[in-house]
Amino acid sequence: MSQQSFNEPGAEKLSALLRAARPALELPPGFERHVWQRIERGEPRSAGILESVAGWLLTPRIAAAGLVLVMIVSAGAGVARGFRSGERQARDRYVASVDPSYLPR
Amino acid sequence: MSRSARLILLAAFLMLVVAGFSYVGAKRLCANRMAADDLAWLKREFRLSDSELTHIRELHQGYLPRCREMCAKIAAKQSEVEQVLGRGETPDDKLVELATLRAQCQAQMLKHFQEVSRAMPAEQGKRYLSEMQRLTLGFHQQFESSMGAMPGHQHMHGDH
Repeated sequence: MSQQSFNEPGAEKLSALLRAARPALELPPGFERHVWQRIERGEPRSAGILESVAGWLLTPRIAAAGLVLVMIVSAGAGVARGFRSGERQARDRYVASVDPSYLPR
Repeated sequence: MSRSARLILLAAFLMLVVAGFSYVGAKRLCANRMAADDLAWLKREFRLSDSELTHIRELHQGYLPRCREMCAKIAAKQSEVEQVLGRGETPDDKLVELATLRAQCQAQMLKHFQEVSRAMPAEQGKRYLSEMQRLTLGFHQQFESSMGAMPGHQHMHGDH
C-alpha cells in the first residue's frame, strides 16, 4: 500500500473504522518488560517429579547408561551366585561320579 | 494414569526384564563352566597341578568301570530280594548277600579315595580323604546315629 493511498478521501474513514473494530485493551503496568524478562531467562514450564523422571528416561544417553548399569550389576550378582552354586554343583558331580548312592545335600 | 507415569512403569518393567535375563544368564554360564567336568572341582579345591590332575584322571577312569560293575551287581541282588519278597518269603540270605555287596562297594570306593589322596600333595591328600569320607560315609553314619537317637526306637525293635 503506497503513501498515496492513505491520502485518498476514504482512507481516514477506514482507519477510524478499524480502530473502532479493534479496541485497545488496557495492559497492566510493566507487562511488556515482564514478558521480555521471561523470554530472556528462558524460564521453563514448571514440571512435577514424574515429568522430570520421564524426561530423563527419554534422554537416549541416560536411558542407555541406565540399562548398561542394570545389566552390569545384575550380571555381577549372577556371576557371584553362579560361582557359589557352580562350586557346589561341581563338587556334587564329582562325588556322585565316585559314589552313585550320593544324594546332593 | 499420566503419560509420564506410564513411561516410568514401562522403563521399570524393561529394566526388570533386562536385570532378570542378565542375572540368570550370568549365573547359569558361570555355574556350567565351573561344573564342566567331573574333576573340575578337584583341581580347584585341592589346587592340583596339570600332571597331578592327569594322574588322578587315570585313576578316576580306571575306577569308574569297577564302580559300574559293582552297581550292576547290587541292582541285580536288589531285584532278587524283591522277587523273594514277592513270593511272600523272607529273603534273609539275599539280604546278607546284598549287604556284603554294598560293603564291598564301599571298601572299593575307600580304596579309590586313598589312591587319589596319595596322588595329591600330602596336605591336600589328607584333606581330600577327610572330605570324601565325610561326604560319602559320613552321611550314612549321621543317618544311623539319628536313628539311634529317635524316641521309642528301642521299643520298636523289641516288638519284632
